[in-house]
Amino acid sequence: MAEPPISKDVAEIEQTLGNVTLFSHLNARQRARLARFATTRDYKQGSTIVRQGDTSMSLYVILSGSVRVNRESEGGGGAVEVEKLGPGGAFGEMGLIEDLPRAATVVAQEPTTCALLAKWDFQNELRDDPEIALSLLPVLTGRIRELDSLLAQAQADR
Amino acid sequence: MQRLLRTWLKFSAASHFDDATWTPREAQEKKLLEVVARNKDTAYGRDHDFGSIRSIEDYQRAVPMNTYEALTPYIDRVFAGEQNVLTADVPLMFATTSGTTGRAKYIPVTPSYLSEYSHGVHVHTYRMFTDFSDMLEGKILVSSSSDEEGISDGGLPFGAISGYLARKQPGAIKRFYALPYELSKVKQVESKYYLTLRYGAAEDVRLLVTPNPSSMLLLADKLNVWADELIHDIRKGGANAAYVPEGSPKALTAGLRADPARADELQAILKRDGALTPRAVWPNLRLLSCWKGGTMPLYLRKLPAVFGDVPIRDLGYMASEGRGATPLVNSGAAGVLNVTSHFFEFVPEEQRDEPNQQFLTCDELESNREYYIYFTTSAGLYRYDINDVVRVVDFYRNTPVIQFIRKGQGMTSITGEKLTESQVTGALLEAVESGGYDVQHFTAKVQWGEPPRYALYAELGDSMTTERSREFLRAFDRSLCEQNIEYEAKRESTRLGAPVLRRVAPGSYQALRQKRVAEGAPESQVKIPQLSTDMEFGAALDVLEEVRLDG
Repeated sequence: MAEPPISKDVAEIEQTLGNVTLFSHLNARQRARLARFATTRDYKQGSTIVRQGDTSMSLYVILSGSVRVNRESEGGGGAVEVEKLGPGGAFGEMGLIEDLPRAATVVAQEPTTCALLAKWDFQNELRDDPEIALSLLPVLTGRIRELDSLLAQAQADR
Repeated sequence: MQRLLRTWLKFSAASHFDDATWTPREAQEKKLLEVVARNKDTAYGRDHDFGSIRSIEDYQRAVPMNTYEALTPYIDRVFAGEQNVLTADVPLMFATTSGTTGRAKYIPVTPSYLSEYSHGVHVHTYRMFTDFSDMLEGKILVSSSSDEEGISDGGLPFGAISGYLARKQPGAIKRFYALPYELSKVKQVESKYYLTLRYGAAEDVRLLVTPNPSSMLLLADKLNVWADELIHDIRKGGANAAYVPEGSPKALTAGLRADPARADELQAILKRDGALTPRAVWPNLRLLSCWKGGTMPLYLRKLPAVFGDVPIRDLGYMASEGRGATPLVNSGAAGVLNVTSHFFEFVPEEQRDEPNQQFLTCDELESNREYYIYFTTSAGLYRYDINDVVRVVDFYRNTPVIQFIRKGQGMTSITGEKLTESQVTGALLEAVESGGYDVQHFTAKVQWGEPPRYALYAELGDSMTTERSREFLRAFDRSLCEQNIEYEAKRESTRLGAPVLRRVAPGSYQALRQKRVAEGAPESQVKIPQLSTDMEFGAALDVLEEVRLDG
């Protein structure tokens, strides 16, 4: 298999990956390896970057600019803004692990540049370096704890 | 053998494709120049000075955008047996297209084109085998259609590429497949489904592939309807003669061996569950693969009820004219543009009717925008307008991930509402989900009158009383207003009348499919539209009831 062409932004991507929660336990060498597989893409203000329900192939990390994350509620009633993300923000993280459609629609609020990391390349890295998988475990178990806590709170509020 | 197959798929196709996705523009130019160089001395190549083409820009200047009609004078010569007209390669057969009205289209299938087409198949297959590593420990059940529907004036067969690929499979590969090639030639729908199940129910099927998800639902339904006959035949060997067409070759039923142990297993399932379901019959089924985009969601939403939580992967954006994209994951209905199969160009959807359309290459596409797509292939289709609209939903490395949205011709406009098939499908799904209405098949068409309106032909379940049908009709009309503001405005101004629902007899759509097959369309590719532009649509259907909103 051919080596990917190295992005001119590789140093910036490597640094920004450190801000992504999912990768917060990765060491510098592991982040550098992932950054080599990232590509960059520019989006105009107002353009839809990904749409809820669509095929999910890549993680997006914002290098510059900002985005609005909207989610359609299941019972209809239109889209609700769930968050805004700026440089260092990421969406599609869970898509690297699960094979599920996009959970939200993401729109560029201004000219925005993102780094994209394909699920396939990420998973190949996991196969080559299982230490990466171990580094993800604290983040994932942390999320389970958060959800447990929210569930318990919701039950207590009933 | 499994490892050998996987390694072959990887090095024959998957790695090449994967590497090209980093630099799609370069891959596309390489592919284009390869096609042009090979065909520079053909009649079409000389007429368009292929010899002077050195770049994508040269090609775009030298060759006009083509429709099938524009290429017909050349294709007719190829069909008559003349060589070196569109391609330097001599065609092996002609692929016939379906889904269109009027005269059939014949696509010359050359060895180079077959290689391009198979390339996409191999990438798709390799990724499925990688993601589901024990898939090859069971069987793959793939439906295919006949590659020999007839013979051209020049003596070549015409039919479906899927049948040709099934016929040419090496013996070592065939052993992974549940169905024999001869089944692709069975025209009678009932026979085809019975024999498919007769072969399939005896096997440990791990992958089920049919282009249309409605075929999967029909297989599931028939599995139960024919449970006793299937178990009997599996126990005794052979197949009920009523389902074996007269004059069939021996090879059609040669593989139907007696398997009393399997018959006992199926009998036990039937006794335990009171029915044969795919979930119980094929407990190791790892993946379903079918079309998921366009009008398919009406059927897709019903698959989990019969197949459980088996993942569903799109089969890929493809047609007789070429393979546009290969899905690499299960989510959604999109695939990665096949940058190593054919050369593609795109025109933004809103520029379709403009005199100076902007033809874009794949590196120039933007996320979430819709484009008309044009193919250049080794079948001799140059800058070919397939009349499809695709949307960019993501990027894989630097290559767009596209989803088929609709046929360009799937648009109607009585009073300027420009209604698209995807809007009709969207409104249909929203209405069905809002009230749990049992709508099995559906087609909208224009009905002229004072005022004009849309007539909705539908095959409905037993729970759909007249009142429920009226509720559904109201919900559909409301959803369509939300999908298309022009439709809403025209409805409010009464320039468009309220839609009318025509309930058709059970089995009408299956009969329609059978009719299309009898006319020469490959069974697995027959698509009955959800928005028909054929003014005759519905004329031959048996309408049981007409439901109206406006008295």
